[in-house]
This record gives sequence, structure tokens and C-alpha cells, in this order.
Amino acid sequence: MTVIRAENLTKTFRVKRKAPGFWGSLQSLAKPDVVEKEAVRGISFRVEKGETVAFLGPNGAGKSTTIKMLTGILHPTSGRLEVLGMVPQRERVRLAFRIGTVFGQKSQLWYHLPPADTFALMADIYELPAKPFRVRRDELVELFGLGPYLHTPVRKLSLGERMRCEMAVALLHRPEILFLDEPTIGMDVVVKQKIREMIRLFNRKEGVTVFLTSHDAGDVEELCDRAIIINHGEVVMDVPVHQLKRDVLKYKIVHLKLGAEPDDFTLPGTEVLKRKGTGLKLKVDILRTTVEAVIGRLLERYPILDINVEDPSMEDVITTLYEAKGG
Amino acid sequence: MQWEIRAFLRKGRKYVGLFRIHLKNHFAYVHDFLIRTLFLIVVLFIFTQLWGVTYEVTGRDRIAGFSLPMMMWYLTVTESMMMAYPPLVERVEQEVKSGQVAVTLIRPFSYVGAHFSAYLAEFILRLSINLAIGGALVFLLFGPPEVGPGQAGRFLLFLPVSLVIHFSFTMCIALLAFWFEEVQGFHLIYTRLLMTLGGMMLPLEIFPESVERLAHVLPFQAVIYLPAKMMVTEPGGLWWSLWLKQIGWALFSLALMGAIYRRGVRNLDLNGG
Repeated sequence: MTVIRAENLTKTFRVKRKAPGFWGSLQSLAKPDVVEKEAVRGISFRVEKGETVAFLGPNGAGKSTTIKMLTGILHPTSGRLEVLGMVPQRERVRLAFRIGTVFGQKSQLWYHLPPADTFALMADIYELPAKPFRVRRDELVELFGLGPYLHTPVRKLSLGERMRCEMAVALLHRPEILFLDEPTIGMDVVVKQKIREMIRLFNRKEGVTVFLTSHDAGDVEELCDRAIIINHGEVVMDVPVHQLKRDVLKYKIVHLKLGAEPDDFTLPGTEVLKRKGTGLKLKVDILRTTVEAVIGRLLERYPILDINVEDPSMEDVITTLYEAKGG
Repeated sequence: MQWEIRAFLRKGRKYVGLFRIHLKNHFAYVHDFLIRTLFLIVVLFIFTQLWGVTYEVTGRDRIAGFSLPMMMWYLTVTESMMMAYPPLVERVEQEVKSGQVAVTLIRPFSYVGAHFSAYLAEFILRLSINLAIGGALVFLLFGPPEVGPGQAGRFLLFLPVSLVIHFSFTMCIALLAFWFEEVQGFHLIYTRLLMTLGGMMLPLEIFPESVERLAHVLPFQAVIYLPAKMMVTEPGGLWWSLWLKQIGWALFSLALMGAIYRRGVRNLDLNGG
């Protein structure tokens, strides 16, 4: 069953341009220079029920604008859009009952009040009867481990604790589609892992369709089956994540601080990107070797003081894609 | 019919819930409200001195039908109301600039209705504090107001309608943020009109006749002047026609706000994450 259908979707913003300085301000006042900026240019895709889709692209690619159109916040300039059989911009309120959202950079919790109050408010807003609300809330509190701080004001919670509350609040009304905009931004590895586990659990347990944007390749690898990549407002690629991993996410960047200055060395599947004193930056091709194997080999020769492993950035992913396409 | 009533109550519950949580949240800022009230005390004290001198110099017991205590109670009500209005324009403008408006629009409620619940909660809390503290000062200086049950009842009838008008006009200005980057200028003009033609600083009867007539046909008097006037004076048998006129302004302002909202939400530009 198709739950999201976008056909030739476009969104154009009118942007006012102004020359610098006082004279520029006067000119802009007398004769404003308004240009049209196409944030989304005729994108088309479909999402089936229960899918986990990563919607990827560099900053300014049009990801958030698309999510805002899918949720009815922004009106498309042209094209056709249907979410759960509804036209979002015309049926925003009706659609809101059936979707959940987490904007990683915008909180829906009440800063001075405990999460329990936000839960109660959401029950009112989503018109949940008292008993089913209590059952659902207790279930989420247990699954997300919110018990110890359910009654602590949000301002006193850590980012990770807050984010778990955000996720639980988004799931309270049993949404059919979960829109996640950078849900793990700024979190440490342990919290990211917990959030990803929960998203996976609800996708499997309740068949929630997940539509995610993230700059974190880990979110994509661990959560999603399919990736739609957009750039400059256009769909560049729509592929299964395993293919993306094979073609693009096939390396890791490893930063090392060694106990001694390293000699010249070669390791299979490993390229030295930078070397400065005892610092080393390596690119590890994970289709040919593993990060563990590389570190193991290095440990045999040098003491290792610090390690940091990174996924390729979304900008690198796009560059690699363009290179692969000869663009 | 029964089902419709239930659906209505369910929908109403969300606005009550919003009202409750905003009220609770504002208790975290009560000290801030109290500090603001200090300013109200200063303003009222200056007014007592100014009007004291005015009555003394003119040698009259009443000016435009107001005795000195009546004038001071009138100004206590108008100043308390004016200082109790939440900064809606700033909030909506900030919501649009920061993109936080997305979090509000994504919920199954009316954007304007949700703001009204928040507005009402803050207004009630601020007005109660302002009236209590400002009223205490004027009580100490001039004794209790001559307010009978009829006046108090009429004040309670005019106050909510005036709040609807003020909220709707302010929201109209706030919603301009969906088109313009800066809307404080519009708000400044509106508040200055409330202060003058709205009767915040002077009862309309004090103005020259032509200005008074003009003020009576404009909506600003329905926001501040009418409730305050109902509180401190006995308007006679025609008060209900004033109330109906006030309701007319409320309906007009609501319709205007609805029209602007419907156009504005289509025009909303939210760039970036």
C-alpha cells in the first residue's frame, strides 16, 4: 500500500536580494529585487507502508522543505502530493492525527515542565481517551526507560534523555508514518544507538513507516532499507541502502593518535590521507578489510593513544555519486 | 446530536489542555511578572501626582464626569490590561524566523486557536497580578472603588469580548510575519492608537468632541476604554447596545484574522532545517 506519493513536486520561494550598505537598503526599499529560488524541482517518489526511507542530501538540498510539504506545513508550488490518501496542504489537521514528527533541532517538550505534562497535553491534543492514553504512555515510558525522569523538568534533562522523550511523545498517538528530521543530531554514540533501536522496534512492531533525513550515515545504514538522495532540489538517486553501502558508503575515515611517529607503511584496503607527527588519518575500504583489522595491524607496531572512526559525510557521498555518474 | 456534542467537547479539551499547560508554565515566570508590576506602580504613582495637580488647579470635583478616585481606578484598569497583553507579535515573528512554527502547524489543532489558549492563560495571570498590586496602591491612596455588582458584572461581560478583539487585531499584525520579515512597526502603530484613541491614557470624554466622536466609531475604544468605563461608571440603560457593538467589532476582527490566516499560511516560507 502506497502511503506517500509525490509527483513532480516543486516549491519555489521568493527571496529578496539587497546590495550591501545604506544605498543598497534605499534601493531595495524603492525597487525590491525579488528572485525566485527553486528549493524543490519536480521530485517524484513513492513510499510503501512499513518502509524505512532515508531522505538524504547536503545542506540546502531541499530535504526539510520536502518534509514540510509532506506534513502539510508548506504548500507546494506545483505537483501532486498524497500522504495516507490525503492532500497534506488541504487536510493538515486530519493528517496530523495519523503522522508523528521529530525535528532534532526543534523541541516539542515544555522546557520548564516535566515530560509527564507534555504527555498529558498530547493526549488532549490528539483526543486520546483516558484509559488507552495511560496504557500507551506506560508502555512508552517503559520501552524508552523514561521512568526516572518523567517528573523532572525538561530543562534539567540531558540531550539524550530529552531526545528519548521527544521520540516517545511522537509515538504516543500511534502514528502510521514517522517523519524524523535529523533525530540523532548532537548525540553521543550510546544515545544514538538507543534511539535507532527504538525506531527499528516500532517499525517492526507496529509497522510504522519511517521517513528520515539525517547527515549521519550511521542512521541510514542501521535504520533504512531505501535511500532517496536529493541535491539542488532534484532526486539524484533512489536505491536500496545495501546498494548505497556497496557503491558509496564503502569506506570509513579513521583518525588515530599514535604513541610514536609512524614509518611508511601499507595496509590492504587502507589509504593514508594525512600524516602529521603522531597523528594519522586513514581511509579504510570496508569492502576489502575491516576497521578492527586495520587497528589490530597498527597496534602490533605502535601504541595507540586515541581513535575516532567516522562515516563519510553526506557531502562526500554526493561528490562520490556525481563522480560515479561522470557529473 | 449526542455524538456531535462529544466531538465538540473532545476538540475543546485540547484548547483547555493548552490553556492549562501555559498557565502552569507561566508560573515559572511569576517573579518576572512581579518585576514588571513594579513599573505599573511607578506609572500609576506618576498618574496620581499628575491628576492630583490637575484637579487641584482646575478646582473641580469632576472632569468629564470622573472624580479623581474614579479617574485613578479607570487608569488602574486600563494600565493593568495594557501591561497584561502577552507579546504575541514578537512570538509569532520569532516562530516564523526560527522555523518553530513548523512544530505548531504539525499538530491537529487550529494554529490561531492554540495561540489564543496560550494568550488567554498568560493574560489572566498577568491581569490578576497587575490588578491586585496596582489596585492595592490606588486603594491605599484613594480608598475602594465605587463599584456595585452591576458594574463588576458589566466589566466581566465587556472584558472577554475586548480580549477577543485585541487578540484578533494583534494576530492580524503577527500573521503579517508570514509575508514580511519585520512586523513590529505595524504593532507599534496599533498600540499607540490603543493608548490614545483607545482610551488607555485618558477616558475618551476628555478629548475634544470631534476626536471623541471619531474614537467612538473606531474599534480601539472597544478594546480598553469600554471595559474600564464599565468598571468605574454607571453607563445607564444603553450599556447593552455598546456591548452588541463591541461584539460586532469582535466578529469583524475574527473574520479579518481568519482571512489573513488563510492567505498567510499558503504564503508561508520556511527555509532550511
